Amino acid sequence: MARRAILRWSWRLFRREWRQQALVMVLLTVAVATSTALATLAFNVAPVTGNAEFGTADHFIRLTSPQPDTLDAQVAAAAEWFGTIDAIGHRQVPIPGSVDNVDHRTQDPNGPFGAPMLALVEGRFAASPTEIAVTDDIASRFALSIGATFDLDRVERTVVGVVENPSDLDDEFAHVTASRASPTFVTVLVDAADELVNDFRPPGSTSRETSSRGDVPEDVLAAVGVLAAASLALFLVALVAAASFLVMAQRRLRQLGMLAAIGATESNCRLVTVSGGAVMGVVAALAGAGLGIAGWVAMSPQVEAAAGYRIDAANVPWWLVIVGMALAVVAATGAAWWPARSAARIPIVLALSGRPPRPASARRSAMLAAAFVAGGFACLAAAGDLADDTAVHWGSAFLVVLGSLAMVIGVLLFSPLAVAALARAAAPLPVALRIALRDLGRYQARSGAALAAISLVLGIPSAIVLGATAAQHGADAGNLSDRQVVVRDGAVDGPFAPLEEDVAGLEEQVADLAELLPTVSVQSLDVALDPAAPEQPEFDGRIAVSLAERSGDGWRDLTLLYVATPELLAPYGLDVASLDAGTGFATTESGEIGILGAARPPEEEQSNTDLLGDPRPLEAGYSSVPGSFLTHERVQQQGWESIPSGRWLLELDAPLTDDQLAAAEEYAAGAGLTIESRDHQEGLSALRAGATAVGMLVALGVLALTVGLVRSEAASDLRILTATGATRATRRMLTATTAGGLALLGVLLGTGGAYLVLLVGFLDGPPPFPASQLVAIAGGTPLVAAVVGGLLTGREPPPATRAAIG
Amino acid sequence: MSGVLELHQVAKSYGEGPNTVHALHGIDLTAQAGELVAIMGPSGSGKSTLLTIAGTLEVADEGAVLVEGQDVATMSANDRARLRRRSVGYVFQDFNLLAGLTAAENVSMPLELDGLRPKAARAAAHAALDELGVADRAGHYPDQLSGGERQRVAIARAVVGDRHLLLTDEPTGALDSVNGEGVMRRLRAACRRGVACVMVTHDAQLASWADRVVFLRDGRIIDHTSAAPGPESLLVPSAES
Repeated sequence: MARRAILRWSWRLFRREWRQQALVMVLLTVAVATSTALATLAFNVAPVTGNAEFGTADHFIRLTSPQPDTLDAQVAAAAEWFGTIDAIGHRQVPIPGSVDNVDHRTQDPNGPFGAPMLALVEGRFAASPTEIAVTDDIASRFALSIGATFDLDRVERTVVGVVENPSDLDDEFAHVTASRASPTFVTVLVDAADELVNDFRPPGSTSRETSSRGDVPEDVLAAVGVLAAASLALFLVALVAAASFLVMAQRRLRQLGMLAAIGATESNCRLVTVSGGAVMGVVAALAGAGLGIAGWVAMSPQVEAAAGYRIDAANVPWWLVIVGMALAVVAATGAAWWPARSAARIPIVLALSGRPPRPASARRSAMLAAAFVAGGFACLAAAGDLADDTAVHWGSAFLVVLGSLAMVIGVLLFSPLAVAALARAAAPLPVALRIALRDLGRYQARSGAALAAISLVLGIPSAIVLGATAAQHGADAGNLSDRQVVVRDGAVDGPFAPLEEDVAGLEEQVADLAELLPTVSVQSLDVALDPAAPEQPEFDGRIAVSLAERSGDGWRDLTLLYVATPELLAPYGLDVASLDAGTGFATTESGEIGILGAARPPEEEQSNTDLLGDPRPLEAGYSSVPGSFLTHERVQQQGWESIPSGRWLLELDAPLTDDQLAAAEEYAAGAGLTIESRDHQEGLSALRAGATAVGMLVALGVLALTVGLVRSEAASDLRILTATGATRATRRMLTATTAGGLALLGVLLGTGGAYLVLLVGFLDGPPPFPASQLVAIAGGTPLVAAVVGGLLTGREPPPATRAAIG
Repeated sequence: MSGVLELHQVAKSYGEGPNTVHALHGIDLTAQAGELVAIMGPSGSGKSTLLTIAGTLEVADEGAVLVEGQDVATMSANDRARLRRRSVGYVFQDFNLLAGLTAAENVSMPLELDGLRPKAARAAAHAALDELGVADRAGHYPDQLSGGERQRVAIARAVVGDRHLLLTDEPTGALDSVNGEGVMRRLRAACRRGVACVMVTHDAQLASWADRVVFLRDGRIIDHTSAAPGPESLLVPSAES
């Protein structure tokens, strides 16, 4: 009965003070709605990248052979090895007069794994060798309709349906039956362990490509990632809510004292505020989830069009939505619990007096903060690399997350100390500034919560800006200098070099391209070719000798081995003669290195690891200029040949301008060349600018909310000040100082905390100093907060109204 | 004979070190059932502190406080809260009614906190309000009531149920003389029902309504006396007639 009476009164108070609580409720609602919509979006968007390639399988194996019989044997071997498989055959049929092909695809519509990759839009699937079903774009391009005849590969087939890949609407193909399809490669979908897939060796070929979908479904990973980000947002909102509840608890302090005076227990008094928080959380959770799902349903057609695959709007991850809602209720209730507990513990007589309780000592909070920071430091220091090329180190990842979280909490716990220190420092200041800063100290609990929220809001963009600055390479690092351009035959990549007969034409085109630029020199980059290596006629180029690194149970090519020239060696402080004095082999690569593209001794399965002896180690320079060399003499010793790689390095006498680059790209596109110039990392610059702007805006928004809360209780002080002659300017100064002071402390804690976390946990080099962004955040935020705070306030306070309570 | 309220050698001080303020020293006070005790003294003499300690809103540093024979010092916070609900009624100078609750809900709140069903609690509240002449204002909120009405609602809340100790702090301080007299008449009526009443006042005319007057100065009882028959004694015959 007692609880019922308390809840009734609490509800009445909630209704009476709805304006104060509406703001927090709106914030919570928006946070829940955003997290619901984004988590659902991520849940629906993420899996399709996997579905488009894997269907419902967890691995695919791509078997390539120009011989249909070989492919048939390999597919049969796969069926025997794995049991259940889904084989999808492909043959690229050229479209006359075009560089495009039509993929003639053989796929069983009822296959065990391929359902997400094939769906019927209209008509039916091809069921006989004389039938074909096409995608809408192909139907449109060739003016086909159901019943029409299509004979692109000189086999007459009747169009019987329109099909699509629902996981990739841009995937254009024609569905045919296996007979007369003659595929050139087959994708085999399998559901099997990694080891089983790696051990599979198709007969008659070493050419196979395998891919694994990963252990955790992408949809769950993406949605959980969104939820983690949403939790951070909810934490932020909870800090603002805590400040708000502190204000409300203070406002209700006298009434809580009255309640206690007539016999309410401490838990009764606590229930008044906590139930308000719970109600806010429940309302925000329900409204937010409803809005989020409605938003998702409304935007799903646009998402489907933009993403290029079919999306089921009803496919909502309910468990994530419920977790998000529960988090909102917990955040709101948790935010209310501490102020409720503090208010309920205040002695009744003090509560009845309505005076703010004496601020708790900031020392305990500071000690706790120091413990958290130290713990976070230890975790981050103990964590090793998060991942290498083959695996994620989950132990390290856990330590990094734990350490970062501890550091953030530690920095936020310094807030009360910072507020107390600022209040103490106010003693010699003019009266308006002194009152404003002392008020922050008097209401230390709510100021501390507000400061924690502002620090977090400023800390996140500061960390992004600092991280982006650290990731931005200096003038002597990156892919190329701003006076270099690499030109490549667009038809070759990886370990391939162009065919001999194509080289002369390419050189002419590169010379023409060089004319468009302030070119000083054009170096043709030569590579080594082993004539004894087995020929692979299915490829349109020659496979040159390249360096490789371990990848699972095989090898992956790293870089071509270039023939050393004085010009190429000069940046490394090396000359050809001194290299010849050794093994004639030098590289910037480290670790276990294999050689691909050379004839193998019989005992080596896939690579030669000691064919060239120990290389002379080179310090890495620009990543896109050659970094691995063999001298011409060493090439000859191996019985290899030097051939043009189809790549050229152009040195310029001035940095490349945007206009020059645009002209060169236009020419290259027409000539079938690819050009690479210095990556100026515009993305990182944009990220820094964006993070700064968004961070400042959100911080100013949170400041507006919290300063309003902090100053709201000082209306009576303002009346007294006005009565004693304070001018409008003084009143403006009060709010400006409160806003500016909180923003300044927020900058110090937020940016300082971001530096601390990054330096301890993530950066090896010197601390980054993005001057313009730091000036904007550190100087701009307090300044704008103070100016706007001052301009928007200063009105004469209304006269004291009749007390609302008996 | 033991009193409803007994204070033995009660002392209370605030602050620490050189800033210590001794609010009460060795206070001995008893209020018997049906007795109205007035406490008078200048500002800062410790009157309100004595009342808050008697009402278990504060705990004495030294000495014993017994309410209906129960030693408050041995009670937990929840037990003290229960005592306030069941035995002690407190009337504040500034009424201290809960905003958001109607007059009837304010009066029934202690009963509901004590576990009484809302309907029964509301009935008891209406009876108390009726007795104080404000039953017609039962559905009004505190900010819709006049000062006198609020004070009567506060008294109704203090006496509702089976309370035996009524503590009032300047109960007429915010009222005009007519309303103030009405309040005193009702306090006396409560005493006639066997309630022990302790009233803090600085008004000698109000103190004349009391059976005994205790004088405090600097936290000590400096005198106590029986008051001369007050105006109420003149009213009794006419009331009886």
